[in-house]
Amino acid sequence: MFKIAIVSAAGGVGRSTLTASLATLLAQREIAALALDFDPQNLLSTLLGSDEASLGGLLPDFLTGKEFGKSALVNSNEVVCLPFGRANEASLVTFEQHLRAEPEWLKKCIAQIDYPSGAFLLMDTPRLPSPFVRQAMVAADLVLAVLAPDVRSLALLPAVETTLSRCAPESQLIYVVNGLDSTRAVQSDLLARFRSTLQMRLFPYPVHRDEAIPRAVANSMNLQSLSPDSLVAHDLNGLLNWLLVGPASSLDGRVQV
Amino acid sequence: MRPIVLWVARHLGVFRPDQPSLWLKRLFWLPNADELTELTHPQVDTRSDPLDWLAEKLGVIDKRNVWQWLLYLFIIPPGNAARTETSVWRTFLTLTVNTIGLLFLSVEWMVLAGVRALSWLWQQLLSFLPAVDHEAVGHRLEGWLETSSFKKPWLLWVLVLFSTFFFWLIVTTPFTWFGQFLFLIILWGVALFVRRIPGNLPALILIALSVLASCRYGWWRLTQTIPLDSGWETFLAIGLLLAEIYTWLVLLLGYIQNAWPLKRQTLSLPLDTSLWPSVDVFIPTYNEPLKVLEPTVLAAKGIDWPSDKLNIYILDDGRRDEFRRFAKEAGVGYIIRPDNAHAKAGNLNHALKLTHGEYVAIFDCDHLPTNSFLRSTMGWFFKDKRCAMLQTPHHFFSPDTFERNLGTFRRVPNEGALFYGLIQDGNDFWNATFFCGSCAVIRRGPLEEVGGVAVETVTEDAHTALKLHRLGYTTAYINIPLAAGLATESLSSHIGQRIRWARGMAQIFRIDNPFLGKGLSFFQRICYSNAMLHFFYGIPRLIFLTAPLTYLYFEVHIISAAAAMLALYVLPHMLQANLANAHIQGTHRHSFWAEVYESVLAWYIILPTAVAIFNPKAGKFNVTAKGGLIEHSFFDWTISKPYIVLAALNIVGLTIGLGRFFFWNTFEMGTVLLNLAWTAYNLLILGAAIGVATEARQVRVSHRVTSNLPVALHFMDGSTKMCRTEDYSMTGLGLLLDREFALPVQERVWVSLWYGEVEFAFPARVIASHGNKLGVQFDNLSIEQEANLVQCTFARADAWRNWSDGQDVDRPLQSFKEIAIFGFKGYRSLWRNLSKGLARQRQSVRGWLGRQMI
Repeated sequence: MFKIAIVSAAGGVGRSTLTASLATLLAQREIAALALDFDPQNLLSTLLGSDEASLGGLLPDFLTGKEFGKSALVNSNEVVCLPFGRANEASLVTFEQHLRAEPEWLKKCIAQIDYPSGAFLLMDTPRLPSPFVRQAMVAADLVLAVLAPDVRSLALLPAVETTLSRCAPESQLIYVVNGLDSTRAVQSDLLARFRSTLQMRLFPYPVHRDEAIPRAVANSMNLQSLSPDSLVAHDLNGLLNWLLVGPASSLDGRVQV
Repeated sequence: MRPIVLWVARHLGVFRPDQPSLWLKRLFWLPNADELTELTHPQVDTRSDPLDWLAEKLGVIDKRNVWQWLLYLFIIPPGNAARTETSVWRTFLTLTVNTIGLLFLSVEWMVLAGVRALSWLWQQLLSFLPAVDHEAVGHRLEGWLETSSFKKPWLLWVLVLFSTFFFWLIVTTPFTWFGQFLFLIILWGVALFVRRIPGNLPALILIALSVLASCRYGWWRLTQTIPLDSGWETFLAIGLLLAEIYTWLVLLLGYIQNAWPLKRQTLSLPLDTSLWPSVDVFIPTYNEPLKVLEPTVLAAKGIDWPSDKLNIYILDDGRRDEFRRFAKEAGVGYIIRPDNAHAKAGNLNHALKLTHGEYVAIFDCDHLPTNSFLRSTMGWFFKDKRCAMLQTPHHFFSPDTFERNLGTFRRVPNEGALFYGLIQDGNDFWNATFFCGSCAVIRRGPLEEVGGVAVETVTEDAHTALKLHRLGYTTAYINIPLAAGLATESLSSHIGQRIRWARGMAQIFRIDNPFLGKGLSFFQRICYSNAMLHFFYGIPRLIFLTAPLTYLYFEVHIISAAAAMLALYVLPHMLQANLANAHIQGTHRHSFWAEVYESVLAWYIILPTAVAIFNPKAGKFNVTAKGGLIEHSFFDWTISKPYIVLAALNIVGLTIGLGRFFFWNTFEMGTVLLNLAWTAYNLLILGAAIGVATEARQVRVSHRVTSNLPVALHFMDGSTKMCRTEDYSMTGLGLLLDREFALPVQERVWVSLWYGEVEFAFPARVIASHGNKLGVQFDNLSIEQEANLVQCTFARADAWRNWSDGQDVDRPLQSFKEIAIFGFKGYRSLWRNLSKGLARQRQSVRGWLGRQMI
């Protein structure tokens, strides 16, 4: 199983949307995809088509001592989603304390999941700094750091790397720019800044901002069948292709692209 | 009831409901504008004769005139129906025109059928022969030559001696007709076998065979066929002989020139960019509009080179404020001078004095360099320290006159393809690459050593290269299109440009003859001489186009030999030359096209070359006009006059010849037949030349380049769509979508194009939307956006890489068929324009007479 943690230092850069879209596209290609919501906001299941925020999830399971992954849901696109679950303040504090005490908790839990070796695990996380992100980084084979083409992301650029070097220095880190509006000169300039700063660590093709995404979410449809020729579908497919021939190519038993 | 009928009538556009014919017509035709205006004033008329309506529609004025009915019903298409009174004479004329057109069509059909039958027979014949693995033969041949026993110098000399002896023997031994026939068959058979072997070695074998056949023919011609009895017969005979000697010489020199094309590849540069030299880019301009210059400057600015080592200068001999402002805005240098002495050469020399780059890259103002231009070329200057100049091909993305008027764009190699595809590569092997005035890099030192760009002749480029070679510098050629531009837009300007080249070459031949003077190697002399001699084809070409007429008109025998014998001698010469050239030139020139190109120009370059030979200082420099448009198709009567006269002479000759064949000269049918065939061939070539003079319409201001690039469309509501370009130009894009998609015209969109990984978005408006095709026009691009656009389109490193992939390979028979069709089409177009012109003339004469009477 190839495990990707989707992280960012700035908020609102589209981590959850990116996670949901990638998982859906993977499922579309008949590659088993598990989307894991490791963000207390508990939004991923909604983005993947659930009508309301899921009550059950990995936190309630943890608190009640159930097996990890028991409350996973499957949507009509065959995407498996493990929601975070409803959480109150007190239980969240307990959970965070547990995570701080045991940095490899998530990694161990994931190892228990019986999943085909060619499958993908996509972990959505809250923004940095957070014990959740550190857990996901430790568990991941690849850390996908999402950047928005704005000044916040530029200012917070070192944060992800610092965290990663502290908790999981072996993981591969790739930056990807999400939500680019190429008709705005400012954003193009920022993209150029990211390029010159990050060089090879930046995925060369940014993911564009596109109405197709919110439209697909609002209609509970998947992007590929709603607007297959949209720019964002093109970008995401490009990103997936790159993952499949690059970092994830060493997986055995992967379903054919 | 009546209101309903009236309502239906109005909606159908029947403005006279009492006229049954109109009802019928409206049901099947759309109303035209005049009738629609009439619709607003409905009037009730009692005229209702369907015959009247038909007469009016067809344009028949006098209904009782049977001739007119015949004429308009069957001959004049309804669109052309001139509503004038016509006479029997005019009907007769039109009938003749149409009959002749029909005759052409049927002859065309018959010829095609004949060709098809012959090719079928040939295929049948081939299927009987055993299959040969030509590739293996090629390898064996090469391996055999590589063996050490061949490497001994004495063996080589013995071989040379032997082959010279046998060559001489074959060339000079007289054969009987049967011997000569066997010679033809054997040589041809060997050539047909050899030409299928890949590699350059078979080309040399074919060249050897061709030289053998041509020399044998030449020897025979010189020793056996010159009539020496009467004065004027001898005079004509010597004329033809000289023309033949000229072509023989050019053929041989061409073989040497193109024996082994070098096909130089690009060399990489040192990794340390601080070692890279500084380059000045000169863009000379004189009278071209700013919109032509603009993309060139922007493309030059995008050339991939350290920015502190790249300086771009506009050299404006027109001294225009508009250009100065643009240069400032674009951030490039702007150089003017007080006078225009020595035109482009003087302009470049003036700029040389004011700039200091180690190298100079020169681009005509309509040649857009790709961004990899310097990276691909400069490597050779590092490798070869004596290299003074590197030339790249002149590539044109718009069709030239021939391509546009004959419709052969990107299908048949154009006139320049041979020079840039083969001859320059051939020259390069002998270190004789010419400078061609644009798309080249020159080292400043050597250039200043020869006193800058040569100013003594009108082809300053070739002369400069000659001077560099005389000083022992080397030049290089890379046959990769790294810049592209516009071709000349009309036949007259095309001819003007060629006249200048011809004159310049003749001038160099006269004042700085490459065969005389110091410093050149033998082969450099040959390459230069051939390039210059090539432009003297005017008179020989005219002689060939008229030679058979001397017999057909006056029964003068300018070749004193039996027809059959002449055919047996001349056929191997022509066949072998054709086969060898088709093999060498292959993808760069199709067989028989050279004849067309030369025939179009022949008449026009005679005088300039002659003047230049006798008085090299006479004449002025003329600039080649580019970037224009031809609003209406028209027939260029002025330019085509010489070919029309020649064609008329040949047609009369053909007619007389038929008379000779059947009635007057039945005792020498062979001679008549030979001359008739020659005349028919000449007529085809002349027909194609006339076809070129039919100027096709050229409406686009900025040329569209067909391409398949990814594009993203950004709509105003935030959604997007990926698609691909069908074509691009400086003003807009033609887009091809995956699915049908309708967009309102004038809708604002953004279009993104990519330059490598970098995306550039440009504001645009939809100007056409049809099915899955979309046309967008850029909307007020800033100069920076325009520069980005150029980088994403014209200046991409691979923009012109696979340009000629769509070209057919040369198949001589196919090529001949095509020329023949163009020949027929040329005459058809001539007839059409002639009859049109006559009708117009008659009308104007009538109008003039009418005025007189009043």
